[in-house]
Formats: sequence, C-alpha cells, structure tokens
Amino acid sequence: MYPQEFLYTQDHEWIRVDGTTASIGITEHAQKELGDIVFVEVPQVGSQVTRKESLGTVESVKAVADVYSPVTGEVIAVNPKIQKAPELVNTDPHGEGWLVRVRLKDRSETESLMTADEYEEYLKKGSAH
Amino acid sequence: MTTSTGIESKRTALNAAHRRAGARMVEFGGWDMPVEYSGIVEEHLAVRKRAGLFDVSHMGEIEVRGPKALALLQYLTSNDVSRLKAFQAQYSALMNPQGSAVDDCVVHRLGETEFFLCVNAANTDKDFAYILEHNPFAAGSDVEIRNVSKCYSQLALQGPLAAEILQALAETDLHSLKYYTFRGSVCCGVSGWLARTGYTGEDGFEFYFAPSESESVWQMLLEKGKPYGLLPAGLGARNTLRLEAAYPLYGNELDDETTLLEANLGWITKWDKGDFLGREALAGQRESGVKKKLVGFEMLDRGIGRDGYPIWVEGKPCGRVTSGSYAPFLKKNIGLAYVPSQHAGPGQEFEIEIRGKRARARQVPLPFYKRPRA
Repeated sequence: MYPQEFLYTQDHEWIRVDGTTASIGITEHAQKELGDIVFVEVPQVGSQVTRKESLGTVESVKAVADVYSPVTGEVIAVNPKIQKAPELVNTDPHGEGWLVRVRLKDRSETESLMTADEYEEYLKKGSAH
Repeated sequence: MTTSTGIESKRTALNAAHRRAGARMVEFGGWDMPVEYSGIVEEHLAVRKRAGLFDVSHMGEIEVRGPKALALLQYLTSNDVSRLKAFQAQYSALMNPQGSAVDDCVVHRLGETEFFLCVNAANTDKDFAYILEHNPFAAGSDVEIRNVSKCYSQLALQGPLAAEILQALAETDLHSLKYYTFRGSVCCGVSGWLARTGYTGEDGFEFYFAPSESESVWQMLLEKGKPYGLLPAGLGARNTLRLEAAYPLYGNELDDETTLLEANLGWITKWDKGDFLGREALAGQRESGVKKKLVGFEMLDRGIGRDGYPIWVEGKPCGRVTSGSYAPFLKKNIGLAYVPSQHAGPGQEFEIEIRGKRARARQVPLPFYKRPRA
C-alpha cells in the first residue's frame, strides 16, 4: 500500500527524494479521510516552501485540508494535470496524484520523517479513534 | 462513540447495517450517522440521475392531537395549518415571538384533530419542550403532545427512479400519491406512513415505520433498487443535494435570531390566518424592510466559500457564508449567505474571505438546481 521508497509525515504527506529534488503528495490514508477531492491549490513554480508550513490546500466536497511541506526548498514543478483533474489525488495519491516537485535546501531534513513501515505503524496506532 | 460534549451519540436502528456497508460515520446533531458510503459525489449523482436511499431516522416526530390541536399549531407555526386536509403535509416553522424559527418542520395532518410534525434531530427535545411550554390550552384534555421519535425509523428514497423502485414494494398506487401528501401504507411488508416528500430537490418518498423492521426494509429497498442503480446515500450527499435545491438547513441558514423574511421564507408566513407567535415582529419587519437577506452565490474565482467564511462588500466585512460547497451535479462552487439587503440581488458581486485571501463570487437566482418536470 505505502511505497517503501517514500518517506512520510505525521500530517499524512509523502515525499519521494531523488538526489537533490523531491516529489510531494498526500497519502492514501489522507485522500480516504478527505473523500472526493474537487480542488487543489499548489504554489507556483519558483516559490519557496518551508518545512512544516502549509504549501497548499486539498479540498474535498466536505472539507479543506492544508498540505504541510515535509521539507524546505524551492518549487521546481507542479503537477500539470491536478487542476483539471483533482480526482487523481483520490485515484492515485502516490503516483499520478502527486502535487509538487521541490529542490531540497537541506537534505538532512528528511531524516526525521517516517519510513513506510513506521508510517503504517503510526496509522494503526491512530486508528483507535 | 461520544460527542464533543462527552455524551454518547444516539444510534438509529440501522447503525450496524451502515457500519457493515463500510460507511464513514460522523456525529451529527447528537447522532452517530453515515456521512458517506461510496463517496459524496457518486451518491449525489445517483440521487439526481437514478435514486438514493437515506437513513434519516435521526429526525424527530412530535404528535399533537385533541380538540385544540389545530388551534395550537396555528398559534405556534407560521404556515396555515387549516389549509391542510387529512393526509396532506406542509413545510412550516415553529416560531418564537421575534419572528424567527425555533425549528423548521413538516406538519402532517392525520385527521380533523390529529397531526404529527417531523422536526430536526438536534432540535427534537428543544421543540418538544417549547411546544409544551407555549401551549395555552389544557394539556391532556384539550391537546395531547407527545414526542414519538423513538416509535419511528425514517427512510428517504429519493430520485427520478424512486417511484418505479418503490411501486413494486408498496401496497399503494404511487401515481395517486401527490407531492406533499402521505398515507398509511404497507411497504416492504411493513405498515407505516408513506409521504411524497424529501430534502433533495428530486421526486421521492419518506417512509415512517417501526424501528424493529428497519433492517429488512432497508435491505429490501437496496436490493430492489440495485438494478436501477440505487445507492445508499449519507448525510454528505443529503447536504450537497439540499444546497443545490437551496433548501435551508437549521443551524446554517436558520436560527432563533434570523427571521423568516430574512431567510426567504415569506412563502410559509401566512398573514391572513390569524395571530401566531412572531406575527407582530414579522409584520413590523415587512413594513420596515429586512436589513439582511439570504442570497445564493457562485464562485467566480477559484476556491470554495465554505460555511462561516466572511463576506466582503466594497472593502468591508458585511456577512457570512451559511453553507458553501462544491455542487456535484452543477459542477460549480456554490453557497448561501446573508448579506445586507442593499447588496442583495442576482448579478451583484461580493468577495469571500477564504483562509486569508479574498475570492470573487456572484449572486445568482435561487434555487441553483430545479429538477426537470416530467
């Protein structure tokens, strides 16, 4: 379910680091909690994002959620399909539904993130609610 | 499951069935209710195009009977109850002296001296206490008021195919059951009140019956409807459907400080029926004009103006969104809001503050959606 090569945050974002850049999205768990996603707001290419600060929002019919950046860096790409087809975040959150690609400022920021196994453990603990 | 107040949520007789069906459950008005099964958009579209089945057993039922039942309801509600014949229903409001709604409700007339009110779940206890407290007649002999909510499950079968699906299971000719009428009927082998009413903007039915029969009625309707594309639908779709139809929701568009005239409910305010609670206040407001007015809007800029977001006109905050959402059938971002009367009217624009940024919206005529007449 959760790709091994990704890292995860407690706020249910994922990041796939590839050298000095990384893709960011929200997790399967997050999209399921939100339900039908109808609107995604992401920063423009060239803007700066800061670790643990909102980089954009994902809106479903019933709720709006901030997407918190797992890392600090500069946005170098946004998913071109996501504005016209926000439902991609529902259907393929870890793939076609990615949100932005950033150039990392400090790679060591990723060290505190969870691995796939740790994230699944984290979800299990949280599912008591 | 507990509410934020720590009080255990109430459960309808179908709670286990919803959980088995994989519904996402939420607390609503003190009840643990399904918000969605397969997804709000899919359920919403099923109701607009085919049919959907809702468990609305959380709704309350209050019985009023006796020689003074009609007089009591004429005094406490804004619509003209005397216009109802037996087995007719009407949308109305339980009033306070300020001209605002204690609740909105549907009044059903069972006979000369017998009625039942369908009221909002969260307001049931409040309404019941309010009616008792404001009853000027002798309780018991003149009029008997009972909260019979526990005696009923209520299912809503809604959508253009609802009649076709239900006809095979109902011992009533549905052609003769007109909009806002009801009758005693046997559906799915269970007797109850079958009403041609709903809260979705589509044709449909609401069936009130004994809670012990809930699972079998629910299952039979789902099975019969399956080939027609009927889906179980939750409170999420119920909300987006009623919003497209611009039906008010108590707690959002209506509260005990908003008058019926402000809420566009002049049509259920009957001036010539005699005195009723709030009539004087409303008459005064009719004379002087309303200061604020409920309007519908569509977003022009990107974003959804959601419940509670501030409205700005000419650089000043001057109102709030009461209900705002993506509209799954219209595929637009729409909402309802109160704005000062001088700024109300289709075509006028305002801004909605969405998480610190202002986005433009334009007022449009209501309802947003009207079903095509067959």
